[in-house]
Amino acid sequence: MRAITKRFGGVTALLNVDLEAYAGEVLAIVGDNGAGKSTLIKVLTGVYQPTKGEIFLDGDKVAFSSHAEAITLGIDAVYQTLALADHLDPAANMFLGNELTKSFMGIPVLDNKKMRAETERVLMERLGVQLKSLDAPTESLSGGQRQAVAIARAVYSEGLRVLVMDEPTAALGPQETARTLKLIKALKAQGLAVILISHSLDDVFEVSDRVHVQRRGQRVGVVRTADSSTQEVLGMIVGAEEVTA
Amino acid sequence: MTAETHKQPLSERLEPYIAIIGPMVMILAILVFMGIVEPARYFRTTNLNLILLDAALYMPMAMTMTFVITQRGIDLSIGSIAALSGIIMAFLIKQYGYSVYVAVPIAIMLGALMGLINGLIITRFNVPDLIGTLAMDLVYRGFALVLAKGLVLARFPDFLTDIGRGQIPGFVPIPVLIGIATMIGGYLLLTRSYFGRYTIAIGSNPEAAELTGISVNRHKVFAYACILRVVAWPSARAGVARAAAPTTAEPRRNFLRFSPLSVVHTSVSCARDSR
Repeated sequence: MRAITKRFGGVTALLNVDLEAYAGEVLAIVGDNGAGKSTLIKVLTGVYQPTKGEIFLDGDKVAFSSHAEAITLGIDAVYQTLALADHLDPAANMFLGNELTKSFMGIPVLDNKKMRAETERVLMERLGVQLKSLDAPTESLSGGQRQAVAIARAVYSEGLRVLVMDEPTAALGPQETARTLKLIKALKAQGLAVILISHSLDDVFEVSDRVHVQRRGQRVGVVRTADSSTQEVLGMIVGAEEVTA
Repeated sequence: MTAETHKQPLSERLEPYIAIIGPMVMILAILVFMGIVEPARYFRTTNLNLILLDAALYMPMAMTMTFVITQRGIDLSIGSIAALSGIIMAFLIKQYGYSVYVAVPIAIMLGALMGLINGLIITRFNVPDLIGTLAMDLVYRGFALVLAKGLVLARFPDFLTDIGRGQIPGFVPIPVLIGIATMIGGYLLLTRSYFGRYTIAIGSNPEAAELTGISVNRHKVFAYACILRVVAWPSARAGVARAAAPTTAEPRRNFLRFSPLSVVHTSVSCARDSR
């Protein structure tokens, strides 16, 4: 993404923000509340259209008019709220809007059995997660399992290249957080470009390769996680580096 | 796993089914109560048949109302749609001499059209469903009253009377069979079709349904129109059935009182079943 600017009326939410994500890498986006993290990823995933700026995918300039269009081009997101229909079972959620059907006397009928089998396979093969019951409504699953379903939905699409994860660990306990971080590493190893938005610098330093710091709608810097420290990134987030410099 | 299930207290094991058990227990309680109060008359075949017949008229309406309510909507005009399409059917037959085979489909189509109008009002003009359909309830009812001029139309051709009063195989009323068929059809639609799947998804989490890549507004319009279209179909049919059952048609019958009640029953059980 190059020189992205997004204005809402008189408010400039993003000003000339550049962002680069590479396949097989985890890029973390950090910043204080209101720094423009959410707006940035909403532009990237097609939910918002930028006021100015360009988005390139593999060197080709792209533009999406909707989130659905971004998905077809291989950019998807797992939201903090997970965006699951809790009354439906995991398989129904995974295939929501993309259902598998079989033909019954020429009428397309939802193939619930096949969708369940596929869900089980994807959860196991891609994420190493096994659910206790695939028949139960999604609301009965734990936070981590619900997240796995949301991620499985995103990675099921063969063309997925960039996966944005918004605060994936915010609502999870320590054990489930560890499991989710492991999952992020697995997705990275599968060649995805993972963009992680997080307030937890511990998580960021554990899984990310690079850290993109946002402050007041602008990018204040990108650092390699290996060459940086929590202190440095924290300083960039609050703007203290100007004081020390 | 089995050992684990055995350790759970009964209340916990029944918990997932409580939405189904609750209404069933209520119905059983009413049965038992009536059996004690009127043991001689209540359990007679004729009486039970009458109760079934009455329930049968609400089954199609309740089933389709289930779809509307499941996707977080409400249609208060369903009773008037039933009344108006029933009256139109009656007029076509009595005043204009149309055959039943023409009049009934026309009545059903008009009912569907009324549902479609409701759907468009709600989605295109952003009118809250409660207000929009309440207003349309008065409109449709007004039409029905004006058309009927307060008359009660009676004596329909045999075919219609046969549907309303006939029994297969000698003791199950035909309207009950139609009602049961609608329920089964509705269940399949809810659990096995795109339409049912999206209905639950929109009801469960509208934002999620949006973000999944379902084309947001377009689908919502489509869903609303379709749901109400389907609603209108049997509610129009219920009007027809009602007209057929007592072999009269009149505009004042208030279906609305009962159908949301029946829906609470069916919708809860269906939503639970649908997983």
